[in-house]
Amino acid sequence: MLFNSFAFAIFLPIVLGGYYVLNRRAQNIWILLASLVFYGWWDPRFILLLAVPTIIDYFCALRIKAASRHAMKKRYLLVSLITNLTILGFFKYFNFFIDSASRILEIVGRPHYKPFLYIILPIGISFYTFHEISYVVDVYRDELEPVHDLIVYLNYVLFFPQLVAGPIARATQLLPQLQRERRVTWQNIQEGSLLMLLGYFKKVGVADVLAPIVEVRFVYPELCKGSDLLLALYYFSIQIYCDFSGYTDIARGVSKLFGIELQLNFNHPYFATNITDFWRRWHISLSTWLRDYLYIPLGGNKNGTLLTYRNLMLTMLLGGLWHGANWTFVVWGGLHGLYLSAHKLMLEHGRLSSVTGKVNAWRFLISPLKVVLTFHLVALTWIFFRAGSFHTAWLYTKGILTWQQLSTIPALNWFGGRATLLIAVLFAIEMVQYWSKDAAIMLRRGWVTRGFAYGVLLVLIFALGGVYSEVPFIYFQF
Amino acid sequence: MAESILKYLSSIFSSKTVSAIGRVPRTFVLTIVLALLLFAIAESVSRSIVRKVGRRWEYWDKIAAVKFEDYRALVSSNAGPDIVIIGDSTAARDLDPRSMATGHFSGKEIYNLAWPANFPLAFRITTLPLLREPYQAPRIVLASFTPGSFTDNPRVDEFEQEILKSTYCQHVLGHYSFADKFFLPRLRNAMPFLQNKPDEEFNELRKNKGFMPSEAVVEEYRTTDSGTRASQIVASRFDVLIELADLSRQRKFELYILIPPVSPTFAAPTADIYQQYLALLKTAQQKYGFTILDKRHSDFLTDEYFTDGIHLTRAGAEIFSSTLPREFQSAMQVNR
Repeated sequence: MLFNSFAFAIFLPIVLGGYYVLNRRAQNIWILLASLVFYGWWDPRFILLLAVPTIIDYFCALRIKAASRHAMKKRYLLVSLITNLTILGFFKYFNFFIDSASRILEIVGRPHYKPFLYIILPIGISFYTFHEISYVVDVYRDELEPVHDLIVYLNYVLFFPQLVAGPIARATQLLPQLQRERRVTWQNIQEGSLLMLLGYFKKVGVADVLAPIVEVRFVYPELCKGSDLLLALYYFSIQIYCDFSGYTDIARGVSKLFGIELQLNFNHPYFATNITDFWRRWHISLSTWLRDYLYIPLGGNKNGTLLTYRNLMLTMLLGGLWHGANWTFVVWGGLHGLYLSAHKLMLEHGRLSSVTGKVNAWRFLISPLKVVLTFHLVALTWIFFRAGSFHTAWLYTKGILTWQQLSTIPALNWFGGRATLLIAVLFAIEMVQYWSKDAAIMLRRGWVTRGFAYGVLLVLIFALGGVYSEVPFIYFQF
Repeated sequence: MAESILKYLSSIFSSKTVSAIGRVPRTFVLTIVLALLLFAIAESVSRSIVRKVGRRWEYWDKIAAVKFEDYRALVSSNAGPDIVIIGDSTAARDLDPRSMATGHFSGKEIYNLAWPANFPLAFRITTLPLLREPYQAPRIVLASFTPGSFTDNPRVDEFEQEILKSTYCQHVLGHYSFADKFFLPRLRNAMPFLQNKPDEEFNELRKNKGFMPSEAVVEEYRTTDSGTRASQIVASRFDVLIELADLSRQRKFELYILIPPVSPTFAAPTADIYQQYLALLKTAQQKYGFTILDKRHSDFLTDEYFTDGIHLTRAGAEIFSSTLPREFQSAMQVNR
């Protein structure tokens, strides 16, 4: 079920209504049933697939805790990891690996029969796999007590607002909330409603409007003007941010209505002044997951400079592959790995700090320039993220670099149209939140200001947004 | 029994959550009321404005709205043209009604109802209904499609979907969404039709009687196919032409199916699909009795008259269109 669907508009009030009149134990069962309906709405078979690793992980965690010997703990951890990664590997990467292996064999002059399976990718498989791995690993590391109540555990995995596209909740944060009596207040409801409204504005009001403009230019870059390709790249950078952070805002907003807090996932990433700062603000639940369960176990920065860079690159390459079964995603991750390594190198050699020190007086000028530079570095990587193939990515990049003049697809208007207006409103909202360091600043204003702002956002969503199309969220495919 | 049911219910229901929520803060209520009031005002204003533009807001393109709704207005009031040109871009861009209105067609009303990428599956939704009851039927219908549009070509499908996804097509198909309950979303598409001074593009289209000449020349596509080529014409697409042919018999209009010209250097790579198309047309012709105008090879149309492999320049379209009345005349004589 999509957050931006009519079905969800009916589903949520029913689930909330039931939730508010039940006691805690019954609330948990109610949320579980609601989550099963929400997920099964796409395809009920997905529930079965989700059930297998979930039940295995539940028992593995209990066995890890009960095991007296370290070797035994490790064995159960391996069972869990192999189950999760095998399912993820098969459903998401089987054809990718077969295809890649075949290409290598072709290159070395050994072409062979290439099996291809039509595999349906279960929605949100990458998210819930990471979700479950973190639980079992935390129990293995003795950082978490395993949960005995199966209903609570199932809710930890299946809680519908975050099930298909995160934030990738940590058990240490979410499980205690599911175990105790939850308290819903008007403050929760107001914050939740505001987050949902902002989320819908980002998704329906901005992302879905930019989506068709971006789509055609990424499919046929050879038919577009270079200036249009550049603008479409800016649009995609905004689209993916609005699509994904819009989803997270709605997810966090819905959770608040249930008295449950989910982790902040985006913190104005395009206001980052360097690439490290960007990754502290972009998809925070994934970047911290990769840090805690991949980068640090690989050795982090504890084994010398070279190994630190290797670990950084490996983490980002695998982070890229997590997004999709395509080498373009690996390149996307690799570019970010290179950026992060370069930034780390410059910081370690004191280049950046000395430069920053000298121009401290010009900080008010330098900071915006750094923001613009970081944005462009990130935007460059989005070409590989969005293009379906290296060939398309190359045509796209070439079109911009050569400032292609041919245009059979109608040219875009840089400073007009609804896209510009909607982006301007988005920018204003982000600026106010960023400067005030308060995402819910609107709640601190009088009811007239609030009512007016909410009304304007509603009107913008309906009058200019993509309300006619229930466009799925981009991250559902990952 | 009742007691055990009550006991069970009291074991799952609780007023704790509702009590914790407490009374609704007055400012929250006022905020929501003000927001909804603003929305309601905007919605009412939209309703009063949008009603004036009829269905034109539903279209995938404002020019398409003018083209199709102008035609609907004509045939609704029994003032429809004698000859209607329908099909995809090979009709919209290559057939000029004003150049055609000479010789045998002199004094005849001709209207170009074709639209770029209006490939068979989209054509079935956008155009066929306008040829059916209760609308006035034309005397002659000239249909032109690029043969490749009858194959399962991803690019054909993609362009076609752009039209099929439109609110207009969705409504024709009987698909209505939650957004249809509101008029605010219609406002943006309705705006071009609300201005006092008509859009210059609308005037141009009306002056050209629906003809939409190509302006851009794509050199590399004069010789190579612009899309992923598919090799087989599929029945699900060709059936749309059968529906058209069947309709021509029901509504008693003369149907001419034009095989559009291709640039000389583009002919070889598309020869196979052309042969399949021609063979299928000939088979259908025996049953339905329409006329095939095979203009694939037109000697006078050299490469410079093409913007790409299959579309003519404005000059090419004017010359080509002016030759068609003679072709019709000969075809009619043969038919008699």
